[in-house]
Order: sequence, then C-alpha cells, then structure tokens
Amino acid sequence: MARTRTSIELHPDGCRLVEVEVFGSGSRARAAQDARVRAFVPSVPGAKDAALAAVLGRLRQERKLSRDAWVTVWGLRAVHQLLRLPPAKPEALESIARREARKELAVLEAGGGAASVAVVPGSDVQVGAHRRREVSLVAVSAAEIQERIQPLIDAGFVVRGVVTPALALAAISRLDRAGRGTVAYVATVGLATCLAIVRNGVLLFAREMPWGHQSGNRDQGSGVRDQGFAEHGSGTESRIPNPESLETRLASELKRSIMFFKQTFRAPVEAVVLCGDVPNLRALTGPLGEALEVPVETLDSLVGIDAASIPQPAELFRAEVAALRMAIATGADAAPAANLLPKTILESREARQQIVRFAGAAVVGLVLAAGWAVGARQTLASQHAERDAIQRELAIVEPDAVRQASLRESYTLAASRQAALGAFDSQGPRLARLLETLAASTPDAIVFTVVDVQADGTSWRVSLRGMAVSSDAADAQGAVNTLVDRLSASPFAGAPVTSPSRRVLTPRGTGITGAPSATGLGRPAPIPPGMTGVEFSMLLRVAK
Amino acid sequence: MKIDLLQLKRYAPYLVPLVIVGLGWFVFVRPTVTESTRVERELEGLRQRAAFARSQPGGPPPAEPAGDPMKAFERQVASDDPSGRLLEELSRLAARTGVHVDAIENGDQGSAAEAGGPAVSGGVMPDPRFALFQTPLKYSPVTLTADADYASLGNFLWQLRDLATVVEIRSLAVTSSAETPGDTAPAPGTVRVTLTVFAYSRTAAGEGA
Repeated sequence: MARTRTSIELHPDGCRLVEVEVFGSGSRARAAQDARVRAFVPSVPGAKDAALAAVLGRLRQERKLSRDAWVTVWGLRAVHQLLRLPPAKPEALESIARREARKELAVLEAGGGAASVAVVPGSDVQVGAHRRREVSLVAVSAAEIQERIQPLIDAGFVVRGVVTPALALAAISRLDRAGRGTVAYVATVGLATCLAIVRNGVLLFAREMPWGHQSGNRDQGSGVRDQGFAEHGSGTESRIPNPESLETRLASELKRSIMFFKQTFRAPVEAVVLCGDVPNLRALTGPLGEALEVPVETLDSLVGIDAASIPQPAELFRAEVAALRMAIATGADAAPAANLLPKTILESREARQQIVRFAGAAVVGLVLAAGWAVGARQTLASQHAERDAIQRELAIVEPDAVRQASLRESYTLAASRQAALGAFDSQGPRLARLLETLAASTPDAIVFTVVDVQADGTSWRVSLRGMAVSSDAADAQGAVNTLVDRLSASPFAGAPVTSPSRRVLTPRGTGITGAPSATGLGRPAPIPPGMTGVEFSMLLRVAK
Repeated sequence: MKIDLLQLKRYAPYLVPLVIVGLGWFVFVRPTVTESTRVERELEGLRQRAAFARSQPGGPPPAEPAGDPMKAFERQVASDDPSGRLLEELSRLAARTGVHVDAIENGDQGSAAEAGGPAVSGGVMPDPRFALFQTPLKYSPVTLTADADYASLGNFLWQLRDLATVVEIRSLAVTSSAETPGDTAPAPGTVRVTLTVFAYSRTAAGEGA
C-alpha cells in the first residue's frame, strides 16, 4: 500500500490541501511515475488560527486524510541565498553555509529566536581558478514557523516538513521532466506572488511579493515586502480580480527581477512557468511573453499528474490544478531537498522515536526472553510430570516384574543345567548313534580306515578317513558323494564342515611312496588290480 | 577502543533485544535448561526401567523345573577321586559288551579351568557347560585301549552312562586293521579303539586349583 501524505499550502487568508501518494525514493522512481492525488481541498477559508484548526481538524477526520503533513507557508520572513562554497564534505556544507550567511541569519535571529536553515547542495562550478560548490541556503525564523503551523498541529496533523513557496516551486522544477535550463517559476495567489528562479532543481533566486490577483490598486507598485499581508484580504473591492493590472504589475516585477538575476548571476532566464489560483491563468502567457521576451508556460494541465486517478470532483480538480501544483509537488516528493521545520521539533521527535524504538526493542527482547523461559519451564514441567508418572507406574509394576524376571532367570538356569546334565550323561549313546549312522550311511564300496573324535567345547570334531574301491573311478566318486549326502541328512552326523579331500588311486599309483600329498591323506593304500580307489578325508562337527 | 556513540545509538534498538535475551538466558533459562537436562537423564533411566517392567508378561510366574539340577549334579559328580571306580565300571562294561580291553589307565588328576576364565598354558578346558554349575572341578584322564568289532563298540558306547561320576568323552579313535601297523594290529573284522574320558570330581572347599 502506497504511503500518502497531506500537503498543505498556508496562505495569508486560508489554505488549500491535497493528499498525494508519496513517490518511491530516488530520482529514477520519481521520474518514472506521475503524481497520484487522492483528495484535494482547493480552498479552506479561515485566517484565524482557532477557526482554521477546527476546519482542518474536521476535514482531516471526514476525508480520512493522512496525518503526515508537509506545509508550504506563504508570507514568512525568509532568506534565500545562493552561495558558492569551497569544496567540502556534504555534512560540513551547512555549517560553512551558515557562516557565510551569518549576517542575513542575524536579522532573523535578532529577537533572540533561532533561525531554521535548510541547505540544498547544487553542482560544482568553476569560479576563476577555483572550483566552487553552489549551495542554496534558505532560512526562516523558527518561532514564526512554529506559530504558523500550530493550527495544523491543533488540527491533528503531524507536520513532517515545512517549505517556503520558493522551495515548493523548486520542487515543481524537480518533477518537471522537460529538462529545461534556468527557469523562472511564478506562483500567484490571492494576496501574494512568489518568483523562484531554478536551475537543475537548485533554487538560485527567490522573491516573495505581498500582492496577488486579489490585491487592490492601492498597493500597486509598492512590492515592498514588509508591508505584510495583513492589510490585504479585507474589503470586498480589494478582492475583485483585476487581470489587467495584475499582468502589468507581474510583467514589470518579473522583468525587474530577471534583469537583476541576469546581472548578478551572468545567466539568462530561458523560460517562465506560471501557476497559482489566478482565474484564466493562460491569458497571462501572451502579455508576459511579449514583455519578457521568453517563452511563458502555465501548469494548468494534468501533465505530471496521473490522469487515471484524479480525485473527485474531477472537473473542479482540473480547474484548480494550477493552484494545487505547489502542494502536489511538495507532497509527492519522498525526499524533499529542504526542510525548514525547526530543529528543536525534529530533535524532540527523533528523541521520542528513539524512545519508542528502544521501548519496542525492549518489549521484543522481553517477549522473546519470556517466551524462551516459559518454553523451558513448560518443558521442565512436562518432564517432571512424565517422571512422576513413570515412578508411580514403576512403584506398581516393577517389583512384580523384577520378581518375574528373577524367577525366569533362575528357571532358565535350572533348565540349562538339567539339559547339560542330560547331555553329559548321554555322550556315550550319542557317539554310539554316530557310529550307527556311519555304518548305515556307508555304501558297500567304502571302507573307513580311521574314525577320530576329539572334544571341542560343546561339540566333537569327527575326522573320517576311508577309501571307496570300485572297478570304475566314477562309481567310487559316486560312493563318496552318497556317503556325504547321507551324513548331511542325518541328525546324528551333519554335513562336513569343509569340502572332503579326495584322491583317486589306481593300482600303479599305490606303489608310490614318498611325501604325503596335498590332500593330507598320507600313504596311499594298496588297490587290487583292475580296480580304482578314491581315498577321502572329511571333518564333521557333532554336538556332544 | 573508540566507541562511536552515534553508531551505538543507531544500532542500540537491535542490540537491546539481544542483551535482554542474553540476560534472560543467564538468569531464567539456563538454570531451567540445566535442571531439564538433569531430569532428562533421570528420565532415560526411568524409561528403560519402565520398558523392562512393561516387557515382563503378566500373570503367574513360569513353572519351576522339576527337580534340583544342582543337587543332581552334586549327586552325580563324585566328591573324591572316582578313577578307581570308573576303571572297574569300564572293565565290567567292556567284558559285558564284548570289547577286548588291552589296557585301561588313569592319568594324573588336574584342575579343570572354568570356561570363560583365563586360559592356562597346557591346561585343559572342559566342556563349557560345567560353568553353569559354578563348582570348581578336578578331572582324571582315563584311557582305554581295546579291540572290538564295530557292533560291540557301538554297544559299549551305548551303555556308557550312569557311571561312578560324570565323564566327558574327550577323544575316540577307531582304526581299522589296515591302518594299525605291527603286532598291535587287531584281528580281521575288528577295529582298534582308543577312548579317553575325563572323570570329574568336585574340589573340596578350600582346596584351590
């Protein structure tokens, strides 16, 4: 959701306001979009503070206007000065600028009050052999600002920033995508006129004149600033618009100011841009253009404003758009170049915000710590509950379980002992069974030569050696295989532990004497003539 | 070290929760976690005991085996040297079953090392099932050399039970006449038999191995 801001333009005899969506920060974001106006009030009468506060407060609540407000204040005693300063760090520019403009600031601080100063850095320029930084300094009396914005604060607005009309015109120039050079922006309202000459968004020259399109003829030609606004605005005849006298007077004042600028800054004004609430503003362009000999434009179209979302009543908005330009430009700028809100207010707000941040952080920390502690305690409580439950259960079932386990253990031991006694007593019969199994499993062709039984733990290792004799070697092999199969199938013998060793002998081979062969069968037994023998040896493991 | 107050002020809102959480940990959480760890260890043991208790089937305890095997063992295993009686029994059994005894001899009595105990060089490890009775034992080797036909040998072994003491058949060698050289060769149709048994006896109390 876009952030909105209420931008209020305070006139000597009232105000106007708009609620706009604030642009994203950065010049690219600003250049990429048009200003989106949510609501507007073209004119709020009420010169008296209490009445103005009441009206604004009601408006804010009825229209649900944003409390964040930027204010353009007409009629302030202000110092606008362009300074050319030696190269310095950005943070040091303000103090240097203050030092340079100390005489002008002293006038504002004459009554003992502080001056509120805003410094807008410009571009670097070459002055003779030196490089200088252009800095636009604007200063106003802090006490005067506080006095002027008080009705807004009373109305419930939180004033975030204050600018002069000249700074508001500079804000318009920053939103201008045409990219003009040095331009004179002129805003004329009922009882005042402001001229701001701007280049690249930096205010070069400013002049605020206490007459406007509703001023009578009696102050024509004066233009002296300290006549103030108070004498204007009363009397019906003085509020009758007088376009002829306005264009003449405006042309004369602009010509004089532009001439002064040209002589002082050695730079021409390339165009004049008009805005304000002058009826039929466009009618001024012709006479002014002829008098000043520069192009004159008006800001009475929707250029730079999102036409798809203009507020209602749309016709009224279109009619008043030139008057609302300054408020729109000031409100839409996410990071205005200058802010004249007194430092005391900014610092006290910053301090309050810091306190709020600290308090919030402390609350977050406390919540986290408390949550952690509560979680740990709950875990501990559940562990205690589980421990108690298990202990209760153990108190009931464990004695019986231990007794049962003990009985089972002793009975198992007794059964094992009985089985062992039985096994000790039946060793002889078991060997007799083995011999019987050997006799029953041995084919006729086989003769055992050695049966050797050796105790090995709870079993016997039984070595069998013998010979199968047949007229055919294959038959003899088959007899040995038959013996192995039968022993494997018997519960009293079992399969050989390793594959049986075998040696095939013929009558000729039996005469050989010498070292035992790899089969470990020893000296070959004699084989009858015409027969073939297969000597074998195998190892069984029989349970005792 | 130089502390930049401005930087500190900027990061303070982020540091404050960390500090508070850290303090909360030390003051409140850590003791609880320590206690929790101790209780968890205790619980582990309790859970194992509970699992054991639950695994024991309910109902009446298992039936006790009939007889007392220890008493039977003590009855069957002689308390003194049984080799003399055993030689007599073997001689009678051989005569009764047609086994022609050449010699029956007994060897020196020795202590039987218990299964699972340290092995002794040259020592004899008896059948490990003797360890079930947890009784120190001695053994006397008895060797019988005889000729017999195969059936008589089987009969002899079949009746080799209920002797003067518990015996363990350590070895049996049955050799055919073809494998027996010289004068000791058995008559045709018979086999040469060498049987070695250990005759066990209980060690008297205080009589160490």
